[in-house]
Amino acid sequence: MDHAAANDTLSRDEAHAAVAGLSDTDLARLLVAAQRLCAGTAYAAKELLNEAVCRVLVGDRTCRRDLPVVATLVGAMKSIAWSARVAAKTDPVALGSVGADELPGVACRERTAEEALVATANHGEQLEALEALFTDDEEAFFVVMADADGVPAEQVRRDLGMSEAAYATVRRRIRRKINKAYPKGWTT
Amino acid sequence: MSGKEDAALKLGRIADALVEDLARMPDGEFLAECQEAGLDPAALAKEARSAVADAIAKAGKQRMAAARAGAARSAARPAAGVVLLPLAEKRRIVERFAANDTGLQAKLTLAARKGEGESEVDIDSFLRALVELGVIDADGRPK
Repeated sequence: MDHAAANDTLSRDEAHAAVAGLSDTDLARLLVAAQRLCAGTAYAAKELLNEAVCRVLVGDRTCRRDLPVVATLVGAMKSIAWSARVAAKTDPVALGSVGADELPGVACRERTAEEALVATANHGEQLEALEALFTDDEEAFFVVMADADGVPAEQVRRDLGMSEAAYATVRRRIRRKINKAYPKGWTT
Repeated sequence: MSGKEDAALKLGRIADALVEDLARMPDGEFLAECQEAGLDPAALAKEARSAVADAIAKAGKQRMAAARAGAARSAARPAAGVVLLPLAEKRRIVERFAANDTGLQAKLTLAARKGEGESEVDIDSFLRALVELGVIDADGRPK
């Protein structure tokens, strides 16, 4: 890792200017990323993007000078969403034993226990529906399942005996199918 | 497939992989995929811009609140040691300072003549100001 580059970060004013200067394509890309990343959380896409931008601007997340600010914001959204999923997963006792008014901010939003249980059931259904999209495409199904299990891309390519180009083609197929089924995120 | 309790994390990993592709693809490819999916990049940008504008406003408010909290903490800190000195010593510090400030010296003289000598509260306030301005240190010594 290039420690010098990692430590060379934008000042708050520079970060503000970078955020304010995002192009329309950058912004569209960020919102689409947010729509995907709020999977398994109680965040809406705009809320997730809003939270990531806010954290960068108040200095909770730094922007490396050698990375586009879009990459920093995507990383921030990934981190926020991941924390929300883990928070919901690691506090299952609260779902059953805490009253509706007392439930702490599980999965980043305050929800009632009932809402949290419904969300958990919905996530299971969402995952099953996603898998069902690829039942007629063995390669894509394998890659999606590998993604779900956190298997690195290099290992997947090795296991499938795929070139980088072939793997990229499969990933494109996956995106097309998901974009068609869920054009505005994970709600149908 | 593992139990439902892992579904959110699995969905998250799938999302992360999708976004990894999204973040890396060139603008042209991204716009082409939007078109293919029937998405309007201009509408997406407008929605995102609104979220970003709200975040800029929210961040500004948080920074102001943090600045105010910091100022309040400074004001609440115990007074500089100089205000704990005996009154006579504090008056000497003020007079030493006034010796280099003819305007202040005139005011002090006039007030003394009128029997309206500086109260200890006024003197402490003046000394705190001198400390904050960096003219004297916390013990009353000139800097």
